[in-house]
Amino acid sequence: MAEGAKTRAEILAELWNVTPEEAARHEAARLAKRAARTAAQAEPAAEETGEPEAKKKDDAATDPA
Amino acid sequence: MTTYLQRAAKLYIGKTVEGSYNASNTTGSNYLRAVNDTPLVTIPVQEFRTDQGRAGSEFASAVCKTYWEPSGINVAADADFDLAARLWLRAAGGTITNTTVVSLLAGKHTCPMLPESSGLQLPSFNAISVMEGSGYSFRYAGMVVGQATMSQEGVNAIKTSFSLVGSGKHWSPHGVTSLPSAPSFTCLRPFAYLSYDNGDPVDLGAGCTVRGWTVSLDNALNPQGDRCTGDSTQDAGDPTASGGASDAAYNGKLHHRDRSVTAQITIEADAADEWDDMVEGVTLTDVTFGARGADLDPGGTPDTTYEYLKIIIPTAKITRIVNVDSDGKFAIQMDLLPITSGTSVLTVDVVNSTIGTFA
Repeated sequence: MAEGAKTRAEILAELWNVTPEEAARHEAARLAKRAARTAAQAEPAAEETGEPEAKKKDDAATDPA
Repeated sequence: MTTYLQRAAKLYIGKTVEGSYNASNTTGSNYLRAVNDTPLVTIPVQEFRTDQGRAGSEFASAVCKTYWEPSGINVAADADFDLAARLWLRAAGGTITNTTVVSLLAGKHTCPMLPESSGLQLPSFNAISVMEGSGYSFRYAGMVVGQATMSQEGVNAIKTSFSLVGSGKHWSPHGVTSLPSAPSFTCLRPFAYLSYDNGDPVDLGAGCTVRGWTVSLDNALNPQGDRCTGDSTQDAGDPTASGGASDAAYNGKLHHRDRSVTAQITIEADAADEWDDMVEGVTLTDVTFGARGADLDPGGTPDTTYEYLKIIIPTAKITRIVNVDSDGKFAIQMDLLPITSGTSVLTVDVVNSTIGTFA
């Protein structure tokens, strides 16, 4: 952030017309929600059971001569 | 007859802004030579009206000159920290704050957009467009920046481009001596600043994912709408003379209308954080687009003080994300909408070797 620039909370407070503390609380809640969602996404997916390879159809065998 | 090469066309931009709109600047040291990717000489032309259709005539039989066409000059070149920085500052148009970063070595120059309360006239300056040695030698007054853009594709040099518009007031020949030579060609590796804060600081340049970006300001000029009864007139090439065969009027002001800032970033995509930010309407702060130059104080404190030109959008939202193919890789292109409850959606931030006034 540039020297002398406003903090994010100050900028948001101005934009939302709330106090910087309120803006910071709102941001903290949002970030916590996002962190929880990201963690849930990162959980390893259930391992696939290993579907047997599809048998190739022996066309030649079934092909009427 | 002498024949000239097109690439010999030269452009000089006034280093100082006009004290009053359309003021003259004839001091050579007050100019900078602009290097232009496509050098062209801007030639004054007149607008006119004819009697076509009058009294049932199918074709025109008489012509009345009305106005000198607003002088248009396009500048496109690699980003630099003098001329391009000045033109970006003038495009924003607000009051420039000059501070010292490192004594005698580095100065900082920052400005927001011109607030409506300060009027609609953006900072104006003189410009010289000339094929030296030929009769095509012109100096224009009342130039303002209509559009400014900074962009980068891949790791190519960062580019800036400007659309300059003038009042039509001009001198020919340009009448300025001791004009400067072109700035030296530097071999700096392009380095872009590209970052924002969505609650966490995000440095898009850190992970080698950025494929391109562009940021642009349009001042929505409309010179024809700024004309007035009683506008001054001049003969071709001489504002002190009027009433001759070439006499036509020129603008006495050049106001901006409703300005717009657009920004777009293309990155190779991984997590869907950007999509999340878009759909949840998260406010991004300090969205920064920038070009970095040389270290002005190597080994100083701090270790480095780079010259730079940054365009900072204090608050923005992502409005659109589309998937694009980036050389076979999965990438997303994001559109950003600057928002504000104040009067400026863009700040121009420059650090260079000029201490004190820089405009």
